[in-house]
Amino acid sequence: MVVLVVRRLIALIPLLLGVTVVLFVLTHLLPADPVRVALGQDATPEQVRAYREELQLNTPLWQQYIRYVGNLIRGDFGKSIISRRPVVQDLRAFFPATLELTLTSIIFSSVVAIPLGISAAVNRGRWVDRLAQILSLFTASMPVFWFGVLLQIIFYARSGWLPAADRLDADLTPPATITGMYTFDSLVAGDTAVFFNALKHLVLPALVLSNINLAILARITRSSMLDVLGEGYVVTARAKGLSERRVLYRHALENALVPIITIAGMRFGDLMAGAILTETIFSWPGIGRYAVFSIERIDYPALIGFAVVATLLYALVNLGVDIMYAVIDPRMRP
Amino acid sequence: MPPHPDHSDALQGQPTRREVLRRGVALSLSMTAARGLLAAGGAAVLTPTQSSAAQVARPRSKATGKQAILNFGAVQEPSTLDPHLSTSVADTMLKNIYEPLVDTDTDTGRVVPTLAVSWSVARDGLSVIFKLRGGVLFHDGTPFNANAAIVNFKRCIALKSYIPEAFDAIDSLEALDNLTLRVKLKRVINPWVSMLSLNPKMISPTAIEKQTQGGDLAKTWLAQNTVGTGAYMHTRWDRGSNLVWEAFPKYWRGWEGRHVTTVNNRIVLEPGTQRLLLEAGDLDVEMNYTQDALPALRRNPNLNVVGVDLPNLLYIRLNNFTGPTADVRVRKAISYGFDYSAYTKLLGFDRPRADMPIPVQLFGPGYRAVKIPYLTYDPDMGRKLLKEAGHGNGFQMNLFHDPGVPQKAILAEYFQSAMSRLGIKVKIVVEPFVNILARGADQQSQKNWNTAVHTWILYTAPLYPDASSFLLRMYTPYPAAVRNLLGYNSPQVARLTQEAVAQKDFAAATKLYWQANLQIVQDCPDLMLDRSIQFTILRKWVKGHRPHALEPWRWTYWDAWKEM
Repeated sequence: MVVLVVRRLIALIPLLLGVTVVLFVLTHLLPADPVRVALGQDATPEQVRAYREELQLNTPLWQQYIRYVGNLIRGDFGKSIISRRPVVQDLRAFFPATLELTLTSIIFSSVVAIPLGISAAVNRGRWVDRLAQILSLFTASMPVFWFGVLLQIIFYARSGWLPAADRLDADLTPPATITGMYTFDSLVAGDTAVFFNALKHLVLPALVLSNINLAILARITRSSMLDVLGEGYVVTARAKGLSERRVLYRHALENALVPIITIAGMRFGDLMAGAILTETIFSWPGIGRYAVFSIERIDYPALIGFAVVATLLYALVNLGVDIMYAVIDPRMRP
Repeated sequence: MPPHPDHSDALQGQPTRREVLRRGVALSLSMTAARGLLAAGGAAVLTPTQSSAAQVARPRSKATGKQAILNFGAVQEPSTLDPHLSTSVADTMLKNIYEPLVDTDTDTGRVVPTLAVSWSVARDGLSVIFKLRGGVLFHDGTPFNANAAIVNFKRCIALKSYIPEAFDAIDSLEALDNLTLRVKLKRVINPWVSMLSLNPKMISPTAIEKQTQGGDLAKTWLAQNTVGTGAYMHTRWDRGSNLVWEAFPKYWRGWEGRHVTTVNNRIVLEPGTQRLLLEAGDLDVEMNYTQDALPALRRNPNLNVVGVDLPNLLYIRLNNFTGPTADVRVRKAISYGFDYSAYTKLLGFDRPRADMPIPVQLFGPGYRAVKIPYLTYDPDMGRKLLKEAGHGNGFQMNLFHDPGVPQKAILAEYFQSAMSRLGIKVKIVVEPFVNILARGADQQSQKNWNTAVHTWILYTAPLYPDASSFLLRMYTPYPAAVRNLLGYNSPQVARLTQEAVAQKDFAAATKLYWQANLQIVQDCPDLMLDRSIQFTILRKWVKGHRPHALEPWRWTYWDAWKEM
């Protein structure tokens, strides 16, 4: 197992380098000047020239790249061209918000979708199965922007039950940072008022983000379980007189979990980098909004910083999935 | 370069420095301690000025609880808090923290004293003496004086802050005494004092010195920390979510009367969400609306919709360098082919029509607008002119605009259809603003019809309250005029503008600006369309706000209070 982890971590190095090369070249090929964006519409050519010199953008691209990678190795993502703040500070500020939202969403959708999928498979063709199918179709068909606004109107504007934006009420102070995830940090700090407020703020965006996951996970669980339930070892388990519960959860589900974990892992990675719509609607200060802001302004240190973190995260989630394969299925251990 | 005559009394006016109550010390100290703990975790960015601020009393305010807190729906998150480097619309918020020597008046848009109480210009126009306001403190407790002003001027010169031409013109800076500053100029710039309404906004020199790292003039530190003289101190920045600003107890205007003492600048970028928050009362002010939401917002009994007619003009700029549009007859033909009333009908709401290339508001006091001889809609005349210019069979051209502004999209489509009636085929190209700027900045490419931007939809707002703000950026040759990317080049207009800027007398300058204005109308380098109306939507419990006559996103929080 250790070998697997080490091998995968080593493989990350060329992957990350590749990402930086591609993004570095692409961002520099764009027909727009990030310096001009940073300095505003009325910047004079002299102002532009001075800032370009300050950023050392007049040196050849390969020299800029080597300088960038050299700094990256030391954990320095450079400074944002727009805000002049260290990119690493921005990533630290925005990343935990998305992580908290994504984790909540993936946990919520797994808790709902996996039992629903199992139930649908066990009761194939019956009303539970039909209900699961309708629910999956319904959730998968609803566009995020529409569903988000609908929930805001029902649960915020009409009933006032849940907040519509932000991570915390404006009159509350965020908890001291440990992870940057407000729910976790406020719990550690013992601040229940902030914890429950942060939790309330999470409900609607997490629900919206869970929407599509719920459909995918329920469908994949159902089909995977149906495959497994027809296998000989399940028939044998039943013939041995094991309880249906034990047959389902001990024999069938464990073997059906591999595709479910694969999909859940991939979705988690996708959501981390792609929760932009949800983040915009709910004014959630996450990494997706930060990335879009950076793209709009061709702020390539910020953009590459985001891409490196997203790649790293995606790779680590996949590594986690591989480790879970090995835990679930001894045949898959290296 | 005397101040505008109708403000002579304002220049003499000495503000009273209010006594600040010294109560609530314990509360402030405990809040500071709590924030310090949070800062250690890094959840929120706190300023080191907290400790010094905490040593003074909370400001006197009759407002308590929710009444003391203004929840402001910010248009954008500021990219930096450094007032000498900020350029985006959100950065006008910073004038609540940092103040310049002179500022623009909320009601008239004209230059009025702020940290300077008066100024006088030498006969030769090459020396300006500022009398500075006494008793002004920075948020770190250090006093504002002539030396502090000099440090800030020098920082702006070094950083090439807006507006560089104002700082390039400085020959020397001298503190004649603690509260008197003399600035000698290399050349006469008529609107020089007006230009100072942008910069330098005054930062504590102590903070600049203390926080400078590697000769960066504290740029890194000031990107997220503030030490100004303004009514509010930046105390917390929950990135992407909220900037919390607290009242500075020792603010020189004082805190008598009704004011808000805490401002939450909420970063809610989605207009729909901002509207929901406003309607529910979680926001007090919204400026990030969509045009189609205005009727419903107006009907809401809990809201006030306040509009202000701004000197921001919408243009379709035409390529003056090359191709058919280099011929003034073609440009006039295009103008004759554009039916303004049909366009506003399509738009669905009325906009005041642009009065002339330079908005009339910028011409100064005593100026009487003269009706511009506009080219009224006359497609037959348009076709006739095209024929005369040798384009009777029409031609093809592109029209560039940036995405995200519905009015520009509607205008582009109307323009396309109107031009088809003249036989001109228009291809609409939607590209980010920066891309269009980059294309235009390549002036060689602009001179070749095959690679050029032929027409471009552009909004322009004045940077400072003077006609030169438009002329210098729009109608003199590039690169001096950074927005003149499509090559309008009239030696007469350039000469008139330079002469006007070099005048010592405002009346003489105004006369020259007016002549330049007429010449531009003759040359028809653009289609000048309409002026902006900026709306602010407020809860009715918000009082005291007056929309700014010049700066669309400007909000002076100190003016506002809440009656709930």
